[in-house]
Amino acid sequence: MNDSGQLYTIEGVAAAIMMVITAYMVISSASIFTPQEKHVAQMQLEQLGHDALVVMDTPGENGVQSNLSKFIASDEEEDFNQTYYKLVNQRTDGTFDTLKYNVTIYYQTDTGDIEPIDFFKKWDYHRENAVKVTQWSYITDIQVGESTEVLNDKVVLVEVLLWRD
Amino acid sequence: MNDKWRLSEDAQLSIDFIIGFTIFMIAFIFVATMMSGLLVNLQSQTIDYDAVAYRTGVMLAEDPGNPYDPDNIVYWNLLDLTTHRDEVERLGLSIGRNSPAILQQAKIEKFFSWSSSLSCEANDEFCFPADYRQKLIFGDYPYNFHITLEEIESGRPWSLGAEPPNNRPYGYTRRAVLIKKPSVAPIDAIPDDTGVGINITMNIYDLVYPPTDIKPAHQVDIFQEDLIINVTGFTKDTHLQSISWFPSGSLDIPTESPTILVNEVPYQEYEKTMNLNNKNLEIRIEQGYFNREKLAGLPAIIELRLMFDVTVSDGNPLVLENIANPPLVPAVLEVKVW
Repeated sequence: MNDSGQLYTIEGVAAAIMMVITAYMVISSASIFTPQEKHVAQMQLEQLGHDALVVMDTPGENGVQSNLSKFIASDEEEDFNQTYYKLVNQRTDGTFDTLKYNVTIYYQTDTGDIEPIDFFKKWDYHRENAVKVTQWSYITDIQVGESTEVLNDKVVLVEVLLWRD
Repeated sequence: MNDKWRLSEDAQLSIDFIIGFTIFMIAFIFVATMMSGLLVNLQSQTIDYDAVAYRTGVMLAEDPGNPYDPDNIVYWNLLDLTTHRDEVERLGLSIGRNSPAILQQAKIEKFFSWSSSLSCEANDEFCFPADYRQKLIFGDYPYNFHITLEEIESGRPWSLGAEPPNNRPYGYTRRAVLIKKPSVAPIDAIPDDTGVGINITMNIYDLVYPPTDIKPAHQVDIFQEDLIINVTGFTKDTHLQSISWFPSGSLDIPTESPTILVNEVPYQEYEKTMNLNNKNLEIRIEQGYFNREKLAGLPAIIELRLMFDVTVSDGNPLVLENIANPPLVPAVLEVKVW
């Protein structure tokens, strides 16, 4: 038999083993980075922030003003802060999370322009990963002469910028 | 030898080919078995746990559970688990499909009555963890879970299962919710007036089909929730003589729960000699007391009549829908899954 152009068995075996080892090393070292983890955390932050706004915008009795509307109408930003802080930060074991937030209110002026009001701004925001949650609220019963008088009898957009410190 | 009978050597497999093919097959099988291992890196367990925790949180906060049929007054929290365990299909704590994040205290009490003992199936309580995995967590993988709920102001806690072990990563979700408590009808006794009875009228139709201008969070629900009538302001020696329904005989007051409790004891066992001077009289109509069978033969308006031995009111009937109100209490719900 003519042996030209034949693979010598021992070399073939050696080559095969090298290929298998290479394949094994490549496969076992491959790990795929999934960037979803950050996404889940932000989604939870959004959910919680919005929950807290909905809870505050639910009146305690039928036909009564909600807490959110009341705090805005009477410009009680510290009352707002105390309520909202507990809703987003309190855990069931009694400890507190480290969420911080700024609140801006957007309203429409008589000329039709949209104007913002910094309602609550106690903490500085340094470009942490933040989410924005919003809730429409009907503001009424503002006494004439109060600083928030421009909001009277208006539906305003309450926007909370929420981040974990 | 005749060439005709000699085997031809053409088109035969050579030994080299056999060896080469064998090595190739071994390598191929080797790689194929490792392919499944390649995908392990794609599956991130914490993300999986977070997703399950999120889903569980949504179900608890936004779903009323199943069965849920307001027209026929069938709710999972009114089922007796000793006999109807399999009929509870899904656990959810919300008061209705369109009222997310408003939980019902009656459902919470039922949800958090659990036991991990073997005899749990014989009692009116959920078996931990089997029932919760089947009716709340879902999925083939047997997840472990820890669910807690706490009122923000009073700190009253409910808890299910044990905390995750130390250093064990777990999926986590937290929801801010409101708890709708049993409706309370506060009544002030007026000692020196003309009436010896306090009469409370209920419009059954309005209670089954509440007016649409009242949001679900503020509706008095006498079917799923307890109803508390709290009479205060007794300033002289007063004794409760009787509690009855008008028209008489329209509803009975059984000795077994669900019934009417007077200061936390069933009405039939209540000591009528108890002096109410400077005390509260709390009348609690338990959830499940009113049901479809009982309501079927009733007139549209019924009246609960409390009779005393001295004057306590001006004699005018009170309308339940006007005086009763369910308190809403903010709370935090946490779900941990691992």
